[in-house]
Amino acid sequence: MEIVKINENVHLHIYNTDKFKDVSIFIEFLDNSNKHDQTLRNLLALMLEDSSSLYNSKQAVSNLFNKLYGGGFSISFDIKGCARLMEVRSSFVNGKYVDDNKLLEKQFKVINEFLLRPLWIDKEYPKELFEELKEKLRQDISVLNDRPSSYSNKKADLLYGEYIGIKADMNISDLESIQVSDVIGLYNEIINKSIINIIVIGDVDSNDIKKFTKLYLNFENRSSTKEMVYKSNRSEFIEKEEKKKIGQTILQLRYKTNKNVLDSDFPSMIIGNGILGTLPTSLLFQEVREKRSLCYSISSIVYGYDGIMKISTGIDYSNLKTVKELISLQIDKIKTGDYDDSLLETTKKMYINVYRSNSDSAKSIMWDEYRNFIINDGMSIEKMIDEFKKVSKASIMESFKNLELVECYVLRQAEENNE
Amino acid sequence: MNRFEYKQFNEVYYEDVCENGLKVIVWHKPLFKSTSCLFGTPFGAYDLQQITDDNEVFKYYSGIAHFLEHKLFESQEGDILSEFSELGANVNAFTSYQETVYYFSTSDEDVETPLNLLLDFVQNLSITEESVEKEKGIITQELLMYLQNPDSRLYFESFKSMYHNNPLKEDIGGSPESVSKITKDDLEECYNLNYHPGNMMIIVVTPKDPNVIMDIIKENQSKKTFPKYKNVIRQIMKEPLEVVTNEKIIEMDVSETKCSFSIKLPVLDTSDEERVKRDWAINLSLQSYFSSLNSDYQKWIDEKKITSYFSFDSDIGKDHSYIIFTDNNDPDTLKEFVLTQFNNFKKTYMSEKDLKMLKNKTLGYLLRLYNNLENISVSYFRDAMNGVSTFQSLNIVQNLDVDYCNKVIKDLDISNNTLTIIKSNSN
Repeated sequence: MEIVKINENVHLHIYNTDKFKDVSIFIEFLDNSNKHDQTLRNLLALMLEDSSSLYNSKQAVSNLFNKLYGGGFSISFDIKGCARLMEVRSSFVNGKYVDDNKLLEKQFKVINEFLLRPLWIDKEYPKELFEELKEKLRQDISVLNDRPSSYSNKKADLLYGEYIGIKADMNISDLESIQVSDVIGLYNEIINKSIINIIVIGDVDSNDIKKFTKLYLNFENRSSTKEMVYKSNRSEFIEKEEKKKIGQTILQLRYKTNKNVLDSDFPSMIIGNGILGTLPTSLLFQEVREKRSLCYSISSIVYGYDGIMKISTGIDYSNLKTVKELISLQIDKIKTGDYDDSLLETTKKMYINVYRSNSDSAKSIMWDEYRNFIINDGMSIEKMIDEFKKVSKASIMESFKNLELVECYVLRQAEENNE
Repeated sequence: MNRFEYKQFNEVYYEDVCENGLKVIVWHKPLFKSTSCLFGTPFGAYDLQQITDDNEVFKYYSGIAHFLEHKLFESQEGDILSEFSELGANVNAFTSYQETVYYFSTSDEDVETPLNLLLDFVQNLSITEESVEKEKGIITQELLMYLQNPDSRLYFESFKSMYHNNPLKEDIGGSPESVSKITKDDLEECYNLNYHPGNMMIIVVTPKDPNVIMDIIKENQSKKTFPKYKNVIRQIMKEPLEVVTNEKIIEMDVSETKCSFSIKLPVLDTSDEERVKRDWAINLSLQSYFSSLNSDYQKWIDEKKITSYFSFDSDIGKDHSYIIFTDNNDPDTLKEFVLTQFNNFKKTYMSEKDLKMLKNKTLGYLLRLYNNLENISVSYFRDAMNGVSTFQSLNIVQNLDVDYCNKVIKDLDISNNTLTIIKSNSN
């Protein structure tokens, strides 16, 4: 990966490979705001994707992208640890496959147009369009709330608070009061102050990339902090049960791990979590699903930038107590090393293979490069694989010793469905 | 081993057939680290009644293909998922209406061991009555999970409203009732009929030497014996043109009303290539009119005839043919909108310019499939089930002309339709 400093806190990364049929360009904008403004941010994404100064109607936008072989421009807002990320993603077919040697420059022009020349740049943003996009976001939020799995995850995260609470905090009531000026204010803040990394992946000439970046994405110097990692410090235990007219109860558990990606034994926590609940061999899957048929899916996920672990499963309410006890028992097994050595070796092998296959996906290549650049922990894929090889039962016990259950949220099926 | 190359895209694959009839595809991706293998049978949720060449008829409870998929992951030694994990390989499977496929991916140097494991576990059903009973609990939880998702429920109910006899009216996984009736003997009977190498296909997408992969598969197969291949054909009961009901309301705990307006089309007896061509023609034509390519699209949103959730799906298959429009809008508005605009569409037609743009878009979409190993194997398998090769499918799109597309649309009979509504149960 070639890294070029464009300006202060603005970097270009070029990964040359002819593995893929397209050229992917990612632009990551990072800030550390702790404002509960995910609704506002998501509205900004819709406005930037919908139109631009030059392509000011849905038809014009569709015509443009269809002509360009279904090339795409999308914006998403995510939170990793304490990093608020705006990700611009564009994927265009490599021009060599469609006999168009200008396609790469057209891709940069499109990003420039949609990202830096939004519809509001030289005229007032149309009120009807603003209301239409607010309505779309309102529906997006409602649709998520109507899916029991995403609703329960959201409610549990909101209850937890911290940055996962900020990420989950998209709500319809916020939408009412948002004005165009609020969105433009947020846009200006992100474009002018966030730290920026542009990552290009594909079969490209790096001189072309540098030239087009300078021409179309020449962001100015900026001075910002660049934090991504924190450790959750939630202390008191929270328990909540909510009823919904659904056919299955969803259990959401949240743990404080007291570990994050910067801890030297974090690879042990990843493997320990693999033994606990991410693989078909995992204790949770084997004990809760395979041996007792209590659920269809159950998983545990470690959020290494936050110091949090989540466990979720869909069950019948009558089995709730049993399932909670079983989960607790499996965590105890991780904490005491009470499992077969072969399970440890299997899990290590799985994770090593998963990390090795990251280079087959543009998105994974981008994320590995970006997180290493921001966190600077030297954890390349190769280094991580080496660390996985060293993990032992003892190191997993050590990494899990401070794991603490801090939240239990239950989305309970209504009585009539329980009969 | 036959070699096929698509020079424009720099893609190469090899094809061969084992002595027992198993078709083998090795798609060579020398720059990738991982290998992805798919082993599939054209036996899916559609197959509730089958007939052999000697006129023996077999009938199954709905959900049996999916149940079988679950049970194949069991072996006498333990469970298959764990065996793959021990090799560092990720294994999974899915059942659709048309097929059941088992697949794994690995970036390990050793591809031979998981490849043999895939072939061995799919070609050996080893179940007990106790394990069959135990699986019913897991499958029931899976069915409940999908049923409480409003999006999948809307589709499921739309099929139920359209079809009297066609197995699309049943959920892929069946119902808790049908699943509870499935026995060990049922599973073994349908396994023996439908998992013969003579009607199966294995696709390996890999950076490894294709000759080596082909040899591994042939060697594995040469050690096994199978009963004589019995050709089995799916039997679909005659389906009336009319829908089951013109309107259905389902109440769920949702805040957003969702609805679909489904058009049931007759199944035409044509060649595979003609059917695939027709499928693309309808899909691209609908994209040209019922999307933001249409200059009226913004007006429709402004006038609240559609919302930004408006979308459509069409499928012109061997045994079914439909178009489903969905939206989160007032159901009657959706119905009126589709009927009015479809009639307008028949008068205006798709332009040359729009078709050219949509061909470009489709070309880009198909090209991007080659970025992902699993996408390659799944799309190859599906194309093969559809009776066309994967490159042939691309050529069909590139050679479409507006006159053909417009004639297909003009001839569509949209009078057999049904409205399905999912609304809040809070009142």
